[in-house]
Amino acid sequence: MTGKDCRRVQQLWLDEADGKPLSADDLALLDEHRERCGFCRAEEDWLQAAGLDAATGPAPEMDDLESRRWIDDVLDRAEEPVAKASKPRTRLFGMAAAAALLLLMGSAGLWWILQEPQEQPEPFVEQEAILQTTDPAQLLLLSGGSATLAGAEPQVGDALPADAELTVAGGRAVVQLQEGLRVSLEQGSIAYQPTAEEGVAVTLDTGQLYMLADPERPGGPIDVHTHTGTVRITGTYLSVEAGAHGVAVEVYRGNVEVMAGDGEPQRVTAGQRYLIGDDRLTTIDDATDRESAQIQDLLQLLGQSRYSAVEIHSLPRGATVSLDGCPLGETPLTAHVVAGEHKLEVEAERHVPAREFIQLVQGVREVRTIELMALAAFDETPAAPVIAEAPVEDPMAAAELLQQAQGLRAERAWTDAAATYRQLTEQYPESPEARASWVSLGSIRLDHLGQPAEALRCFDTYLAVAPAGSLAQEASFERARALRALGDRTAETEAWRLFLDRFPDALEAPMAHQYLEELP
Amino acid sequence: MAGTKTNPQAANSWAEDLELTRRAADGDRASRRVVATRLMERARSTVFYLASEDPDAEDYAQLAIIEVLRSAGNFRGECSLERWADRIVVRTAMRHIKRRRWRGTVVALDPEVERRPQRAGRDEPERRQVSRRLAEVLGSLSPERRAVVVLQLIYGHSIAEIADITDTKPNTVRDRLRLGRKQLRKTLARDPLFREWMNEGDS
Repeated sequence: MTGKDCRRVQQLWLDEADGKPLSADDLALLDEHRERCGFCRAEEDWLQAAGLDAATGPAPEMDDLESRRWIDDVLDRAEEPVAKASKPRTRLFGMAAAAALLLLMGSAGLWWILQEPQEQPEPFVEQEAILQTTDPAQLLLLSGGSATLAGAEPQVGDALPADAELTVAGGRAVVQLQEGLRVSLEQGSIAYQPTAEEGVAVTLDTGQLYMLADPERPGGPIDVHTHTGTVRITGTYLSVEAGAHGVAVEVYRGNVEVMAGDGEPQRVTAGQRYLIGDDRLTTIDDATDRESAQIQDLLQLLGQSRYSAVEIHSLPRGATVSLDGCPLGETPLTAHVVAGEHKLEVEAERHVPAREFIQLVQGVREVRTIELMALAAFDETPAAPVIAEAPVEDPMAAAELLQQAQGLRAERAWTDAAATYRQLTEQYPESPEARASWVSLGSIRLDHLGQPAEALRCFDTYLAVAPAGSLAQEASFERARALRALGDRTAETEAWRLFLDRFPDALEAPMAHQYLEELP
Repeated sequence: MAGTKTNPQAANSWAEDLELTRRAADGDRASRRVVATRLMERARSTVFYLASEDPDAEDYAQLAIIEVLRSAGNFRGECSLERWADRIVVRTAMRHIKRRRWRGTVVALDPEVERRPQRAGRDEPERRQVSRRLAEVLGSLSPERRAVVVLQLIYGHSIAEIADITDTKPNTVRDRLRLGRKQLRKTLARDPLFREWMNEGDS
């Protein structure tokens, strides 16, 4: 490999890097040498492989979620004062450097404080609680059903006092008991108490909990007390289910010791299920394993240090909410999750799923109300509009619902008004009230719920079922506004032209002209 | 930038990059996200080649992109965004790598990196494994030589471009490249995986 040819080839590569053109003879020599010299050929293969992999190189692979968080972190740090963001995070550089850095950050921080208020969203009232993640124990998620904490209705972000009983019926609550220790209570009730060894004792009366304990967490051992025995954990992931049939322990990671009565402790390891008192170890089935993996993702998603809050409501209620593919629970749902961009999915049976990306800002509560389009209504609306001539089932009920919706609208109860209009369109789809509701529903969605796409669908539905209806002018105008909100300039231009063609003398015509002129 | 050939299509694309960086420089978060997303993998790759053994390499990559975002207003659209950003990424990473070296930090080898990669088919080497192994081998070079070797042999920059990126004279780059490659070949000659690869190719 150090022969004369090799040296000559090395020089040619260097010349090429220097921008010198290679002659035909040089190229022939390179080809010939590659055939003959195993070392140079292997070296070239390696460099070529590395070059082809240059997009990612030797850096550890990241999935989509990790990439998004990496980017979010960069964007947040880029907005920090220069001295703070430009320092590697893992250390400080001597006392003098630290003092200088503090001084610099102090003045930069003062500048930042003076500059930021106009740009930062208004923080919500729970900000302090959100940032306090380790002590005391704190509620991180509540979803579906009902929950009580010491007899009162809890809120996400509430501290969980020692010995206070947390009960969940038909839903889920996630609690961070200590740093690196999170519990998802699926059903039933728990109470916790710190122990003298800086550990935690959790009492599970009934129901099922999933517990994720980081082996590196600073606290001592964890005991889960049930009516038939105690499960001792150091660092692992498991579930304990306490029911009338007994207490079952499933271990998904690590191992635990189960102590019941005066007998020897039973060791249960990953992949095993143990029914206390039964003395039999069985293997966890695949379905249970998959479910536990989802809950583990959930516990990890919530257990982050930089929180924002997300509150999800849906119509209908009880829809399944997933964030970044991780099922959180059912609506209504509130959770503290790491700030940044997340993929939100809301699904309910016989409804069209809603999917969108949401940007969560640290310390800010994001509230979303998502109306899921019923499959039947969705299918019928754009494709084959039918104007019913037949009498509706209950015209009085339809009129009452419309009146109710109008009352809610007058009270500015937008979500409830939208829900009532929606109910009207679903229950009495062929009534005149329902037709009119499409326009009102669209306007609420556009102007008050921030849902231009859904609003557009409402206006399109009205124009399809009643193209010459009394609200056609309003629906056409609102339709163009919805397209404007969606940023679809081509469609918006066309919509304004269509509106002006059809309603040249409308009161809104000057405004439509103005919008049209602003478009490219 | 020297050594960069321009064609109308590329120039058009650079003009779009210019518009993008203008918006990013004005603080538009969406544009900043686009820039950061586009450059993330390339920056991580470069930094891990330059500092794969450094436990703070990921942090250096982030700091490099932060520098790119802060310098976005200086992009002139005379080359691609990637080429322009390479300069900032390499300089930022080198600054931190040199500080680390100056402090004499002992670094621990990542057990994942220690694991010996398995060979794939002869025609389709496992690029990721080769990249990681190559990054380990490159760790035997000084940071300055390593930077030059990575920029030329893996990213295909010319000597003039590398001189510009690293703020060094072309003759120095040429010397570092010649000596760096020689040292690389010596280290590769002792590497069991490389030898295995070479012998299989011969058989």
